[in-house]
Amino acid sequence: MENKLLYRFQSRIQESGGWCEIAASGDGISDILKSKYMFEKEKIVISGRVAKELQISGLPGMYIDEVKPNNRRALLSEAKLGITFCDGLIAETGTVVLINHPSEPRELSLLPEYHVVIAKQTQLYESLDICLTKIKQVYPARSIPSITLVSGPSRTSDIEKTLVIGVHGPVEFGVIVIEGL
Amino acid sequence: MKSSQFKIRARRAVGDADLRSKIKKATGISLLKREQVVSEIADWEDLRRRAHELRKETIDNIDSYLRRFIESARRNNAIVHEADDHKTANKIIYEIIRRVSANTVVKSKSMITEELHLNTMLEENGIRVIETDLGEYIVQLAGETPSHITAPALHKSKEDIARLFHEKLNIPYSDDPVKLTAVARERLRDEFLKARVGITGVNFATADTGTLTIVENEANARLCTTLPEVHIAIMSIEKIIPSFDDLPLFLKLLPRSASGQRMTSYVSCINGPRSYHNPDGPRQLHIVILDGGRKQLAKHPAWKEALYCIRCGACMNICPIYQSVGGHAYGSVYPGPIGSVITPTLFNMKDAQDLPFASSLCGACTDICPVKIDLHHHLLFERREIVNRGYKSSVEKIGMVLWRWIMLSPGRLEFAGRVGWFFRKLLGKNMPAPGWTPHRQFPRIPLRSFRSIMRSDKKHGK
Repeated sequence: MENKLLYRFQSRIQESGGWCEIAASGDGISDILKSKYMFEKEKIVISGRVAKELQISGLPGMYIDEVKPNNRRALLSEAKLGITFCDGLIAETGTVVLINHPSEPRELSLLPEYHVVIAKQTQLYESLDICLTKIKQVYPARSIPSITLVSGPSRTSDIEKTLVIGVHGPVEFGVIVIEGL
Repeated sequence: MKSSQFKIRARRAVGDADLRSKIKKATGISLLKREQVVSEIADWEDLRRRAHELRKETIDNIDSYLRRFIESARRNNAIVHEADDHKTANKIIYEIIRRVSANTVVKSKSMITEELHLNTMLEENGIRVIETDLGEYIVQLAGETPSHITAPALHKSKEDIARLFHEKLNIPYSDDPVKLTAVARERLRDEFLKARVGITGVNFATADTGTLTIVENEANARLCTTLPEVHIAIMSIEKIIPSFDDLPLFLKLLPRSASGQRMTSYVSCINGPRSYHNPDGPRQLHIVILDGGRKQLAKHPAWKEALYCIRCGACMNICPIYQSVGGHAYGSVYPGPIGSVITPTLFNMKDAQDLPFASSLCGACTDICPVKIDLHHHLLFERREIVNRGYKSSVEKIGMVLWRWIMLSPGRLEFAGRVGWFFRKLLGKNMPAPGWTPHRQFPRIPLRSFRSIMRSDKKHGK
């Protein structure tokens, strides 16, 4: 049953032009990233939450927490790949829920050319209403930070309804879901 | 541009085969994509009903929801400004920009700013406005206005855009949408990084949490609401929905109806400026709320429904009139069936008196509307209002009285048929019928009417 939901999420992401890989454990993530991207370490920026909340270390790249807040924007606008954690996955629409977080600034999923999300299978929900209900339980009333829902790469159909991927945001969007975690 | 010249512009548009084929193609693709993702939702009709009820509840109690929204937004540290009319709203926006001494603003697509003619006002005051949505960027470069509420450059072919970019941006001619998009990305990224003020519209404003929700695909609204120091969100009062819990419902309806997507690439739910709870984003969030005649309209027992609209544009895509004439012919910020309902009721009925007649009353718009606005009936009722106000010519009035007199008697109707047959026979294809015969042939009128055939058949016992 749970896997059915996961496969549904995966195919929804693919339909909207993103990719979704399923990793057996946190150890497999490094390999997945290496197989897809060959950027220098300085061009990859990682959310502090990946280390703190997912306890995954040793990924190639720089952790945003180690960069002074004033230097972050310059670094991110030069970066190739931004790696974030997330606060929920929605199977129905293939959506990733990102909540504003000190170790995961909004620019991290916005300025670099590529955006990869690392998520746990237990963060997967059937629909947006269920996920938002969960979020409201976690955050104290009336202090939910800003939320961004991401369901694919930046896209447009403004020229003759022709789909073009990569306008102002990331040109590629991918999700790695750690199975069973 | 005035809606009073609808007929002239419509005639020109109908004669432009090239324009018609562009619009037909674009609306067709949108409808096809919508059909695919709507058909997979079993309770679509239930969702529409629920959304309609919620919109009704909000508009019926708009004063109290507005108050609640303002309280919640202020609690989130947003600076809220209320504007009774367009002029006041523009003044407020200009003042905010002036106070931070910015001379350039980046802007994402917003119909309310079109309604305000905000760009013109700001540019007259020396502020450069950069439209960042690709379609709006194209329209701005061309010095035009959007022709569709979700696809502003729908009236332009890729060759049109290639020529435009070649001339205005000094780049080699290319009609490849991928290349054209890349040019816009490169040009605008710098502007985003430099800009100190970002202006956006709002799709939904939730009364209980004060959240502003912005729906988009390109990420330009995300950039406008993340990078600049100051974010100015502009909304009209009817953008309010009661609760954050209602958001999933509307997010199920809007992207599917607008672009045939299950969800747009990005949805930003903004809960205030940078603060302890919100570690990043602009330092100042201004919310400008425009009334602009809406509170008055909300009191009208029928036309208040015009305020239920969530601006998906599906009624435009499906409308046979829109498909034939395109958005510019309407001469209003809001084209298509919903535009023909809103423009006369919210702005000026006399100027827009032709718009409610720009419909075949087929009802396709009502069927497709995600919040179940009874669009074609409103168009019909507006026609009556226009006649009651005496905006129609006396020739038309005499004609209608005559028509009624004929239709009330079978004998007169039959006689009128004979007269018609006689003139058709006499004049042939030259039979005059203004507004009809310049483009089509007058149909043949048979000598014997259906009724007289029936009568003689009965007499002969068939």
